[in-house]
Amino acid sequence: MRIFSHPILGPLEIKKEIKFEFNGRKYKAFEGDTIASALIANDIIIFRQSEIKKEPRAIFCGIGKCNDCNMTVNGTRNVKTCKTKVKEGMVIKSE
Amino acid sequence: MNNSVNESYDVIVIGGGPAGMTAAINAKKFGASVLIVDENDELGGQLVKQTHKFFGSKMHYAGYRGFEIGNILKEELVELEVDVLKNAVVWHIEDDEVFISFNDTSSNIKFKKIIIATGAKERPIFFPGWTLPGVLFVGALQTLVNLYRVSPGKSAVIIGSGNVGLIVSYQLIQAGIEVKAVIEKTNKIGGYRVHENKIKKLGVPIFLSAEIKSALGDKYVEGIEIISNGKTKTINTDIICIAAGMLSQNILLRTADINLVYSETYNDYLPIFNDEQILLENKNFIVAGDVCGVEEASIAIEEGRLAGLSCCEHLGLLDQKYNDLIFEIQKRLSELRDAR
Repeated sequence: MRIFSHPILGPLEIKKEIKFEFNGRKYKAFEGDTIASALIANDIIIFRQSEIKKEPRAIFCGIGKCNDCNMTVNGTRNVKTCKTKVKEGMVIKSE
Repeated sequence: MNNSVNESYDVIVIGGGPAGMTAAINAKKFGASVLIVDENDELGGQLVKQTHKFFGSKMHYAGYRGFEIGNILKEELVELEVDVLKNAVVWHIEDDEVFISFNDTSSNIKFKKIIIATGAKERPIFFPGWTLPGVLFVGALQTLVNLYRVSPGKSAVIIGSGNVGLIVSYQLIQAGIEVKAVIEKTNKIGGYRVHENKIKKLGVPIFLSAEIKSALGDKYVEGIEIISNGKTKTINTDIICIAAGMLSQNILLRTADINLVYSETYNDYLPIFNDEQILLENKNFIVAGDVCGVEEASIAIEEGRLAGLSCCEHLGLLDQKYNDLIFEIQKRLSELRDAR
């Protein structure tokens, strides 16, 4: 979910809207979002499945070390979504 | 700042956080040729997501927000024309060269002195269900909520009652997320009374001498089961946030075969170094910041200054009139530590 108002940080700044695609569906995010934050803003909380047991995984460390947030972006596999900014027209697929 | 690098430098700094940046600035200022390397897209380390105002003295950028300090330091690097390599991972260090992976290739670059300022990592804890979506490190949650203004859930349970756990609990409540509980392993609260009181006032229960039995949920976190004072308790929650402390990110020291010794003070494995931040084992290796003991940004900044100056001194570049500067920094470090 998106946090729109905050007593200390103030109301959310109006930023440019970005459209992207995730697993075949269209979503919106703000310029400056990472792919991970854009997905979480849209209430997507399961990011991928583990390779062997197919267990659900999602963002964990948030600094690009654990690889739990990896997704395929514009055809490139294993992109760390916690560190990668979302761009207009990005095509994202969970792995 | 340019992305083309030389084959050798007087000083290479690994890590572009507050310690690394101030080390690079001071090394360049006092006469060395400097390259700073960072694996991220932008410099700043943990400063980039620090939205709160720093306090302390002018030397420590009091009144500025963390990310503002990051910007100030980045500008100084540009002004001083320090070479910067971003999106670059140092994967090995030998006596006089580093091996760096960037632009889909690997390069070796020679150095006379190397400053390792790779910072800290979070201490993981493991329990059944820890891999579920919704379980995440406090750094990750804080970044999502404060910097990106999103949350992976409406309620959270915080594991760890140190200052970070307590402060983030308060920040989450401010952001509209319900903090159901703080879970502490030992029999007393780890953080300062001022933070403890803030969240107690808001009705957050703190469970002491508590053990995690399991995270609950099938596809994502739905709750957590703990044992506190012998009783099992189930708490419904969307998020389980791990705030169990920080550790030195010392893997490069290990690949360079540097001895790490357990420190009781820091509850961590650290290299042995003198009061100029120089490793006893190899005088061309200098450390600065959380990698030589997790403390805080102001200490990282002073250690970075010291590391940069110390390199120039040992390279014979430092004008005698600046000798006092090293002593002044050591004095400030001592004062900062006494205050903690």
